Amino acid sequence: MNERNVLRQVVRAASRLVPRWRRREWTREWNAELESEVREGGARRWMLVDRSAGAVADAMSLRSHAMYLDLWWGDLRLAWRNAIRRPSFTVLVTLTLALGLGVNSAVFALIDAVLLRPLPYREPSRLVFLWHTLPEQNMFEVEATPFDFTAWKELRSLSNLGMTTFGSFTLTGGSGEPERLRGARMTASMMPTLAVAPAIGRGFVTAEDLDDVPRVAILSEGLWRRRFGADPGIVGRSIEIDSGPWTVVGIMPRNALLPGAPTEGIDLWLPMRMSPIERANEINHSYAFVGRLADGVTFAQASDEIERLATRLAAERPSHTRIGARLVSVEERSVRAVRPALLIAAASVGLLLLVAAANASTLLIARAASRRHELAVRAALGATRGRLLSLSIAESILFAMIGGLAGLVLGSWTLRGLVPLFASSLPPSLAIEVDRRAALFTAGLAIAIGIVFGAAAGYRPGNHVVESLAGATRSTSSASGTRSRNMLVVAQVALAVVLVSAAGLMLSTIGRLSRVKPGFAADHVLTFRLALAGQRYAAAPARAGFVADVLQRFAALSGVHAVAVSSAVPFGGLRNATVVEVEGRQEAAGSRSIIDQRHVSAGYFETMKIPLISGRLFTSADDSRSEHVTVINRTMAKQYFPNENPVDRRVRISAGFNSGYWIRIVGVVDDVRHIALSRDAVAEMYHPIAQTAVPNFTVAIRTVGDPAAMVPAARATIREADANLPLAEIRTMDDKIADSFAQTRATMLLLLVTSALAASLAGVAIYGAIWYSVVQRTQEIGIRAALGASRGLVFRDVVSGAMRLAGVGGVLGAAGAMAGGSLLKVFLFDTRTTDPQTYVSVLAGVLVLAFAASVVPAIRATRVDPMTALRAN
Amino acid sequence: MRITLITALVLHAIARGHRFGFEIVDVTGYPTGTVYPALRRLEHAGFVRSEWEREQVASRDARPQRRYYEITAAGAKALEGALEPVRALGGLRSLAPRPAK
Repeated sequence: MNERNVLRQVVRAASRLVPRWRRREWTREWNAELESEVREGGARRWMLVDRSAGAVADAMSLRSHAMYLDLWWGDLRLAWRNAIRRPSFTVLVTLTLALGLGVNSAVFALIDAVLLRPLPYREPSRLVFLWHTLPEQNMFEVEATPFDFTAWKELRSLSNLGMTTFGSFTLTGGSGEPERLRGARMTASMMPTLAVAPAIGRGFVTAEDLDDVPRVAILSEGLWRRRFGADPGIVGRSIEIDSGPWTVVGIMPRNALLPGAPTEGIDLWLPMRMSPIERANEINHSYAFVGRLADGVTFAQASDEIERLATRLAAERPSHTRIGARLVSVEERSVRAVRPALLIAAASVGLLLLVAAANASTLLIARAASRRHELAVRAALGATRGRLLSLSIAESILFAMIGGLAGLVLGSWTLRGLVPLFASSLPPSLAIEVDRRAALFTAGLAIAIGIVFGAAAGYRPGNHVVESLAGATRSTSSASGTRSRNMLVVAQVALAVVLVSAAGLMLSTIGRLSRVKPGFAADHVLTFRLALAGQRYAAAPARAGFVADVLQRFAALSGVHAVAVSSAVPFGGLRNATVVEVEGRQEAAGSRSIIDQRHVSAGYFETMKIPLISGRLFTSADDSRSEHVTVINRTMAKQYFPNENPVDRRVRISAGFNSGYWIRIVGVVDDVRHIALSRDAVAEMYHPIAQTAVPNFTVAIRTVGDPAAMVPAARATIREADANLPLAEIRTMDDKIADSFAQTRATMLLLLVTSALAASLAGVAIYGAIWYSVVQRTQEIGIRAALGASRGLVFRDVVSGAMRLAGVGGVLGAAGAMAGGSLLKVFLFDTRTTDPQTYVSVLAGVLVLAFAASVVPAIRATRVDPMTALRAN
Repeated sequence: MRITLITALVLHAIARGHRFGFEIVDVTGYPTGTVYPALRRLEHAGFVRSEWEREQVASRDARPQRRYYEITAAGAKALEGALEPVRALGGLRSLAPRPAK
């Protein structure tokens, strides 16, 4: 055998020690070094032996490193064997953890999709909204005017600027029913600003900002699929929008999103097509602006610039007097509506996870106590504290991982329930599912929980090794075990109390909201929206005639109590406010009266049951031939005519639609909450639609029976009046009101569920702790009974132990809830975060829970037979 | 990872451009059974990284491919920190690696 072979044999022998996964590389490296040494021939034979011996040392060092992993692997295997030996215990612990981890994976998936994923634009953090502000009216996000598109183009801190205005459009023709669609008109610069482009076809060109070019349209992916069967040949063809031909030039990609669009997204992307008059408009504030910060410009610098420009415009242009301007980050605004609810969701499921983990931990401690003998043997055989801790952590990580897996299943179920709850504030195109990221998050959480609570439940043979080995069962359980158990129980109670208090506050809010009187009768009312567009309705008399015709048709239907139309019914999400001038009233310099406007048919107040306070309501005589009249609400009467009768006074709209003539006030009606139940009414004027003939309005039908059952009849009636007119937003009034606080209700439901789960876990924990302490104290109780303690005394003693735990936990939890209450503040209505009633009932509930949880162990304690107890050892 | 005298010397040798196992053994003067475990620890800590030499180079020299080590940015920082007190002592010459044979 030559020396080369000897060396190879040495390396090969040593390689047996090297962990298998790195053995090949390792062997190759050593062989190469030794081989080169031999070839160079410089080395003496003894030196080669010396060098190859190093391979053994190297292999051994790798082996010892791997041994830690081996030990850990062994711990896991042992934990697994223990787990399957006690299946019911394993199921209990893993289910508890699965509960906590499952809801967390669901809420993470939701938060990940909504808050953490970037918006579908290039560098979305550089996008900003540009808003007008009316500081005197406390309004800080007012849409701007077409004039500002020209003015703001000057801004050097923006590299791009796009303008858009949202609206509804009627799609007719083709195979389907006429359909009301949400759409937006936008300048050609909008898509480049966002850095989005159609998936098929082209975007808009600057010439299309004006209306002297052919009409073109881009379809959303959803509309293209739904209405045109995803036919790519649609590009270049003509479709009918608002009774006119438009050529399709592109299809947007899936999930394309226009900032500021309604949550449902938009179906039609249309060019701006401004007339010269529209382009010069300085007073119509219904255009949204999005800009992109130029390279190297900070948000603050850009804000400075736009504010300076606004100051200059306010001085130069009468239309812009007292109007400011500001930037708002697109990212910030897009999650603003849903962020508080999601943060509360995250906090609540986080707390629930802590409760679940603490619960699992108490179970593990209890079991450690019953395994004292085994652990003592291990300790006596030389297992160090570290080894026992490692075993304990391996066990809890094993449980947590199994719990995590079960939790993922549970999580995707939970998510199915969770998403619809928040649907009204989420974009519908968003894909929300328990995906790989959620799985990774859950795994990380499971490991963290496993380590922390494995360490908390860690086996502590402590000073009792000898006693445990002697088989002593008696006594004074390890004091530290009892203490950490009790601490965990107190923690669970405290955390559960935080959740229950939050749920209580929300419950009280919902209760108060549902007791708010909206100012009209919302029951038995069906509403839907119509839009009169196209040549047929170009003239005002045609529109007024249509309204009269439709009202007549509905009134003739059986099951209809009353019917009316309004340009904006309550809770419809629409507002239209204009500047109004009151005859004989001197406005303070620079201030103006902004009043909400509504256009209603004669029977509106009767249909909605809005009470008249003074004067008269509209009649069919108030039409285009008679004097212009208006009915105002109580708030307007109070604000503008304090201590006088507003009836017969005159007002005038300052600019725009319906302006230029005096309008006589003929009546005052009671206030209606239009925007939200939690928002007081604002000043409002109602105009007879027969005089103003606005083209877009909602029909409100008061029915005798179930309003939802009226839908087919309503469709048929409208089809008879105009077969090309789609019904949009078909909702009952009750549903509209319910939708207006859907998010608050969703948050409450989530808190109710998590707090109920947390409270049950805490109850089980109290029960377990008290039961355990009774078992531990059997002897002591026996001695006391032998010495004459009555059953009542024993019972009281056990129950008061539970009360103490619950009381301490309850007080700590209530303090925590008050401290964290600010998170909840945005949702509360007429309820303080320190609402004493809520906390008193929660604390009382905790004590009842503690009592209920300790009754059974306490009864068992009273049945302890002194003789048996004393003989037991 | 704690930088011991040996790991510091191995790291220093690699920083000076001594790239493969036996070369490092030669310049540090420690036996292979000391140097290799130190190399493993350094690699595990991310202070050095290794790759196999290109095949053409090895076949040109008519020997098997060697595994080459080089210092990482983290390793350079750790070495700097380890040498600090040595410099403060006024530069003990004996710590400097011996030139390769």
